[in-house]
Order: sequence, then C-alpha cells, then structure tokens
Amino acid sequence: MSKVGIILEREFMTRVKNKQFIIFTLLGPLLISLVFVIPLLLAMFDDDNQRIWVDDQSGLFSGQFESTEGLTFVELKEGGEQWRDSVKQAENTGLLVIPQQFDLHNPKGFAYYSSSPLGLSAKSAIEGGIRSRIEAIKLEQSGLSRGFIDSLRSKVNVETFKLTETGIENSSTDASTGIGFAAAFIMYLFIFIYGTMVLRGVVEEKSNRIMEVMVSSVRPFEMMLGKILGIALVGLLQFALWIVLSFGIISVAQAVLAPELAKEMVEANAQTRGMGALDPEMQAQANEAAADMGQSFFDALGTINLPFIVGMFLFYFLTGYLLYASLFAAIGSAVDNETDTQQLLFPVTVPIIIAIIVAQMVIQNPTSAVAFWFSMIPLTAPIVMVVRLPFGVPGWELALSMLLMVGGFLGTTWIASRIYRVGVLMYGKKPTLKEIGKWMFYK
Amino acid sequence: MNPNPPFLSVQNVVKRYQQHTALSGVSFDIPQGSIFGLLGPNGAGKTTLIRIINQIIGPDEGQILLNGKPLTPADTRRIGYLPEERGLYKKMKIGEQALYLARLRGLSAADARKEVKYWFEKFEIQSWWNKKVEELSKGMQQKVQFVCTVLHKPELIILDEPFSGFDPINADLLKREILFLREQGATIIFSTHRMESVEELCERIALINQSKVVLEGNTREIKRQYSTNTFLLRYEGTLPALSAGFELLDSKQQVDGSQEARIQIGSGGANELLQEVIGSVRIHALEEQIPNFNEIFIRTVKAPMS
Repeated sequence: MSKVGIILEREFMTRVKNKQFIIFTLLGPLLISLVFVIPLLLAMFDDDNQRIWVDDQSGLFSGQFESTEGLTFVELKEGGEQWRDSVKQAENTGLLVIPQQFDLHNPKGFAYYSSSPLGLSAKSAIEGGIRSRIEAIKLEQSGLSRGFIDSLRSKVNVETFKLTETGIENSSTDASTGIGFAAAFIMYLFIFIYGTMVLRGVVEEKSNRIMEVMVSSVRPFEMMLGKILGIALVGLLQFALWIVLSFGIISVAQAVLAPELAKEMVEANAQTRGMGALDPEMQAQANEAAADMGQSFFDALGTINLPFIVGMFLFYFLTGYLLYASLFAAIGSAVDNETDTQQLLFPVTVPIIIAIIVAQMVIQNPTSAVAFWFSMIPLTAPIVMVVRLPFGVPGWELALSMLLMVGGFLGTTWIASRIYRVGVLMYGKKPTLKEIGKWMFYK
Repeated sequence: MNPNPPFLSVQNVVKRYQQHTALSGVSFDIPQGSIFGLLGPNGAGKTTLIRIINQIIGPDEGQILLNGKPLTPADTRRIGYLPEERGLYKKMKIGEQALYLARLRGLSAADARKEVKYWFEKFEIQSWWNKKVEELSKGMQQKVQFVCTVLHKPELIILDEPFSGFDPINADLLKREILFLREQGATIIFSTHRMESVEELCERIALINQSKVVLEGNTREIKRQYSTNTFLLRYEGTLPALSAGFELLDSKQQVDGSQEARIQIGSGGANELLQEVIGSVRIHALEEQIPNFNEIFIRTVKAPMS
C-alpha cells in the first residue's frame, strides 16, 4: 500500500471510530427528520382543547365563533358575573365577555378572563370572529351583500413554466429555492466542519511533535494528501449515512404517523359535528389529506432533476472541500497550537461567508451577473453554484465553473503544499501572513 | 573511487537560511558499524544536519553519500530517526501507533506486527498495547518512541538526545539496546549534550560549533590530543625541588594529612617523575589527568574561532 494510502486509512479509521463522529452521524438525521416529523406530531398531540365560554350580552354574535380542532366555543345562555368565578376553577377555559353595546366604528369593551394566558391562535380566532361579524353588520347597513364582497377577493397563483429545447416543463420556484438553499447551507457546513477537522489534525501533529518523526518517513505532501483525502472520505460517509438515515426515519415516521393523524382528523370532525360513529367515507378523505401533506412536497421535487443535482453537489463538495482543506492544512502547519489559528484563518473564512451571503441574493435572482461571477470564482462557486443548480444553469457556464473548480483546487493544493512543507518544521514564533507567503518560494 | 567507501559520508554540506548560515562546509565520514557522536552547543546546526541526512530538507551545497552513493528517497527506509522533539498521537493506542509508524517506514502489515510484538516483549511493554499515549508517563513514551525508531531494522539509526526523560535504570536499558543494535550491524549517530554518555558509547565524534566542524575524529585520539601531560601525585612528606623537565603546578594539603600535587611533565614520563621523588616522599598514588569530554567540549566551544 502506498504511504498516502496508509495515512488515509489511519485518518479515516481514527475519526470514524471516534464517539463524536458516531453521535453526530446519528444525531444529524434525527434533527433533519424532526423538521419533517414535528409538524405531524404537533397535529397529533395537540389535543389540549381549549374552551371559551362566550357571554354575548349584545346578542349579535350567536353562532359567530366556529369551534376548531383545538378551540371550542360555548355560548352561554345566561350571562353574568358568576361565570368569572367558575372560570377560575375550570381548566383550559376562558370567558369572553362581549358588552351589551359598543361603537361599530370604534369597537371596544371586549374582555377575556382566564386563569391561564390566551394563546396567539385563540386570540386571533376571537378577534377574527368579532371583526368579521362587525364587518357583516356594517355591510348590511351599507346595503352590500356578503357574496359581493367575497367575489371581490380573488386568489392568484402564477404557475411557473420553464421553456426548454424539448418543450415546456413545469417548474416549481418554491422547491428550487428550498433545495438550492438547503444544498448551499449543507455545503457551507461541510466545508467548515471538515476543513476545520483538517486544520485541527495538522495542528495536533505539530503540537504533539510527531511531525518530525513523520516527515522523516513520509514526504510532507504525502502526509497532507493522505490527511485531506482521509477526512474527505469521512465527510462522504457521513453525508451518505445522513441521507439514508434521514429518509429512513422520515418514511417510517410517515408510515406510522399518517394513519394516526387521519384518524385524529376524522374524530375531531365527528366530535364537532356531534356525530358518534366514524363515517368510512370521511376516514378515506382524511387519509388522503394526510398523504397529500407529504405528497405535494414530493411532487415539487419531481419537477427537479434530483440525481443530477446530487451528482453536482458531490462534485462541488469534493472540489470545494479539497480547495479549502488544503488552505486549512497550510494554516495548521504554520502554527504551534490551535489558539494561534484565529487570525490566520480570517482570510480563508471570509470567502466562505461572502459566498453564503451571495447565495441569499442569488436565490432572488439566479441569473444575475452576481450569480454568474460568484459561481465562477472557485472560492465561492461550491456554495453559489449549488444554489443556482435547481433553477437550471446553462451547460457552458456549468462546464466552465467545473473546470475552474478543478484548476482552483489544484492551485491551492500546490500553494498549500509549499507552505506546509516549510511550516511543519517551524516551531516558535507565530508567523505573519507575509512570512507564510515567503515560504512558498523556499527551495 | 575508494573501493571501500565509508558507510556515511557528509561532504561539504552548506545550508543557508535567510538570516543565518546553519551549516558551512561540514564534512566527516562515519564508518560502518560505529557509534558516532554528533556534538555541539544549542543552535550549532546539528538538527539541520540531521534533517538533511533524513532528507527532510535538502542542502544548498554539498552532498551526503550512503555506501558511496548519493541519498535517494528510497533510503529513508534504511534510516531510523528519533528526533529530539518527539511525540506520538495522544489519542491513539500504543500498539496501533507503532504499527502505523512501522508501515510508514515501509514494512508490510504482517512484518510490522511481528516486529512490534518482538520489541514490545523485549522492552516488557506488551501490556501497554491498548493504552493511549496520554495514559503513559514521559519515560514510558520515550521507550515507545525508541521502539518505533528501530523496529524496521534500519542500518543507520539517528538518535537525538535519546536519554532525555529517562531514569537511570531505563537509561541503562537503552544503552544496552544501543550497543546490541551496533552488534547487529547498525551504524548509530548519536547527538547529545551529555558528555559522559559520549565517552561511554562513541568511537568517533564530530563537534559542530557555529555551523562548522571544529573537532572531529576518534575519541581516544582526541583525548590524547587534549591531554596536557599533567599528573596528579598523592604523597606524604616534603617534595624535593624538581628538575627542569617537570613543573609543579600547585599542591594542596589533604584532610588526612597527605599532599596532592599537580605536576606537568615537559620531557620524560611518569617513570622519570617517580624516580625523582621516590627517595624523598612516600607515594600514595600517581595518575594522569585525562581531560573528559565535558572539558574538551567547553574548551573547544569557548575558544575563539580561528
């Protein structure tokens, strides 16, 4: 086995066997799937039904408040002060008092009494109910019908189509934005996490003083390459595990939770309508509704060429990582301990941060000049280009950017190896950037 | 060409850094199977020279021949190097670490395992196999590092301050191993400040000071060269006036009443001196004052550069 291979193996194995890696690998997908599962869970467990007693002294609001899943309105037949005392005893219950008379143009005097604070959604349900009733009264007074007002409101949804050479494709801006930004953010995280891992590895070798033992058997370039490639494999493994585990957890969660959720919805409906038994037709509808929640997202995904994007993501991840990791390695080689890295890291982290800022602008306008140039510069391309990918990128732009990427990482690796080879043997004073620059030209 | 070239030949090696010259025209030969002391004060250029021999850095001028041929990258396999600044991966198990370093030196995985086992048994450290470096004391780490230096059976072993951090018992163990390795045919370069170990182990030395070799050769010859022909005479009685060939440097009364005199012999020898004084005083002892390497070192380094 070549020496690079032996080093690669060690770098890979020590990290994969590390507890941190195992925990992080398992925790990542859990966090990702929580994003998908939590809304489902919330819908399921949110059965703390809140009751609101309505003491409508004006008599205008009868039937105005519609009970929803989490909120039940009960109209009191007879109002009075005594309800305030009983509301104190009751759990999850509040008392809404509507005054006998109020000014339609400046409605005031509505009061809510409860032992627990009023939730935001309940508040807006109450206010909405009052508002729409007042609106209705005003409409009646002005002689316009409710139907007419409703007909004034129109819902517009622009369907987006992309013109391609083969015809018209249905495209989804929302899904593109989501995927593009998620990919850019993961790229940003990965470059940072694994780049720092390389940096720490090099600093460890230097501060442990194992460097000198190593460089007498291995050329510094082989050491650097083995380390960078070993950690790249760790990153790819983690990425693959994340994807597999996340999809696994999400699909299991959907399979388990979706029927439950459907049942809940049906039961809730049945209760509000005062029906005891479950209507099979309704059950089917609810099942469908629950399935739709997941389906609509996957439909949107279907309009995007996912394998292509994943492939491109991997390409930009690998080249972007190699580019930055070699710079991180060079910085690590220049210092004796980790605390000294901060100042030197600055020029390397700035382009990554710029890229993530530009990525947000690119989402607004994926074909702008900013988008073009920043997806060409190898330092920012890995992040900016993956944002653009779901929106479609002309072939020549992609090819040029990829070519520059390869050139970029070869260039930084060359520069880094020249710094590294000098840096690993330098102990003592922390070098300045200028001095590090000079190392490049040492024989 | 010399039919029997020296094992290692350092020829006119020059290394310049931006501010200073680390080595200017350093040359010496190391015969096969010898223990060679590379001496010099801090900053003299020893580490630079060792790095050049290890091909970690290249010389600006000059060359280094191994068996008469210039060093090639493949030769690193034939060298075992224990640097002065040495360390191991803190979080890695000792056994795995030794295997790793052995494989990087070119052993196959199977050979590496065999050699590591052999050396661990020899040093009685088998039970450390699964320990991490951070669990070991400094002396224990030094043992492991020494093992890692020699387990690929190098022909040339370079030890930079090998005794630092060792207690006397382990230092003795290490000394025995160094002699054992020499018996096995290895050539050893030994860089140190500890002159007593130089006297015990080294057959030849080179003393580097301010980037130049200032003293080089066989240890016994060097000692003779530095001998001032001074004798220490312990006696009772009154010393007679000495003839022209002898010079009394000083004399001291000892606690037990005897006298101790330092006498430099200009011509003749110890026998003539004895003849001259034997009638007048009662002689307890006569010994030659041989300079030790500590003195030679200090004298050479402090001498103004010619």
